Amino acid sequence: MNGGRLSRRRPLWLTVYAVLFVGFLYLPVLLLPLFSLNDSTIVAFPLQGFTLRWYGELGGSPQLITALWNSLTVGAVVSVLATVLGTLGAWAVTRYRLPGKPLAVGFIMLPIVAPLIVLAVAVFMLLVATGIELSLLTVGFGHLIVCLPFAFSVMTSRLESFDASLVRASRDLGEGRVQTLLRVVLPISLPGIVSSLLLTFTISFDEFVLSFFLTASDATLPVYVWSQLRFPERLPVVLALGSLILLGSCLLVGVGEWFRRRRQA
Amino acid sequence: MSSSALRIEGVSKSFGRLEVLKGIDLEIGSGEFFSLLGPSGCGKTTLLNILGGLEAPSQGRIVIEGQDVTHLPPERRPTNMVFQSYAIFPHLSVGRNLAYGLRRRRLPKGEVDRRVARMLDLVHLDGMVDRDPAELSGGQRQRVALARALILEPKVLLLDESLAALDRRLREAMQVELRQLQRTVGITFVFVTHDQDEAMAMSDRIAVMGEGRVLQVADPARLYHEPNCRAVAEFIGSINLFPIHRVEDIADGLLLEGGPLGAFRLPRRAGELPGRDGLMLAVRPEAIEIVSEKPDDGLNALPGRIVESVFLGDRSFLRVAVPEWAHPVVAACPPGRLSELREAQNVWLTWKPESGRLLTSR
Repeated sequence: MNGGRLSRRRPLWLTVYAVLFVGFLYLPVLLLPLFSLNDSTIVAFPLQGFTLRWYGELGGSPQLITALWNSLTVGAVVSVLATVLGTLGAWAVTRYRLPGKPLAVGFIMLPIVAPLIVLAVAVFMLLVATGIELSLLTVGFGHLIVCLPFAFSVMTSRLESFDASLVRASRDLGEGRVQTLLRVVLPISLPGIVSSLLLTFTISFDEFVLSFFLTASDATLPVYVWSQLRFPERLPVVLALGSLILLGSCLLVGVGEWFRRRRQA
Repeated sequence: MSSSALRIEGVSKSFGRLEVLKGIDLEIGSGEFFSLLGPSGCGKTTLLNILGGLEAPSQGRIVIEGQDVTHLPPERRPTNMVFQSYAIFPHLSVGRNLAYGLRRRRLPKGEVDRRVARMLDLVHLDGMVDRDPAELSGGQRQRVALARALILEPKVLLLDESLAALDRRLREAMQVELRQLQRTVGITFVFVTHDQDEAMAMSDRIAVMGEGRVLQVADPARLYHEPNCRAVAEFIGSINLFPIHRVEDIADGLLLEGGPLGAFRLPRRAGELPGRDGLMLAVRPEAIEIVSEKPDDGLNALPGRIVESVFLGDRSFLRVAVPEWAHPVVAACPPGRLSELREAQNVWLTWKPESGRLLTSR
């Protein structure tokens, strides 16, 4: 671009700063896969040698498999529920003139700014007071509260750019309400829906505070990982698990991004 | 205009306390190119939406070819609309945009493809069937919207400010094309616009609207030469208006008392002696002649001083300040005479009695 060519050469110190910044953010994360392949229970340099046995031990832990399964189930159910509710809310906010709209939006977005620990204690006390037993269901309920604002804001930004005359055009061209929803509204909102599903799933999957407070015996993966940290000899296994989750997240985000770009093109 | 395609009977519309349409009655002929013309906020788009079923009237009926459609939803009306924003479905190719409304007809795929191809041909978009709407120019999107509505062969096609988003050159080309297209397909067009040139260029008849009412319905020439009120006269072309205080019936016509501006003469015409309040004498700029000497009888003549001359190539006009009158008078000037008329020059303005019109200031 012309503007770039005309501007001065960027100063060296900015480049150094940028490299340091990214390094500071991501180098610690890279230690995870590094030590997960290290043949020693002690997480420290120098490295002792290459091994895959920590990854092998992952499969041999039924508790871990159960925790993983719990997290996947809660994540799947919560992401779908949050996206459905978020979409409905976003539709109402972007399509209709509602009395008290700013207040309603404020309430929906509140869990993003409210400290999680306060939220967790509050929900915990509510459940105890009403005598509802702690289970994966209560964990899911907690996750729904924190996921909803994210689903809502993703869908609001998608639906804000949605041209209302498309719905009118569809009706004018002979399709009823349901067909208009299926043939126009849904396909156009799909990238937003996919983003929302991925985002809320990820949030639920690694949420710790609420899960810790709201679960009884069914641990989710983060709660399980935390419990394992008490046993130093299990640390490399946790690192192996962390590396796999990292890989999975990267794949998920990559797929989501690819899908989003393909849609925009 | 063989038979009536569309009848609008006493249609009113209110949004809360705001009265947008106040008792509209119109009859539009089959195969007619009919325009609803008016400034923004006059209710013309609301009326179009009511015709298409996108809004319900508060009162009145809509009848299309004898069928009362007032309470039918848009998908069951024999009307289709070309939206101002075009409303092209961004997730569908050009071809699938066109075929959108055909799906309900359950035609075999070959037939759908044939109709789409024929329609693309008609709007000069042949070969664009697989294009993504995002790749199209404004003019092409406009044609897609047009084709998508016409492919359903509606009894009435509704067009909402359909050319407003195009640049001037393209808009003028599309005016010609739209008119030809309408003649080819023979479908009744109801066209909403705020642009008088556009309405004049394309329409068989025009309804001029103002503040929720129909002010006048006529063909373009009649609207221009015989406006029935001040609002129509001012909206169609430019016009000079002189206040009239008193009308006197004299032997060979009417004598209009214009106060400080003097007296004017007007032939007596059938049906043209309206009430006495707020009368105006309207004279088109091209009816005014610029002379150097005071005409003999002194009637229909105003002294003035040229304040500005404007050259527009194919035509030119002068603004002339007249004593005792706040607004400069606009007079058309033959381009050849422009060189002999200078600013600050004193002249006389005069016009033939029959080129004036007496209007109420509605």
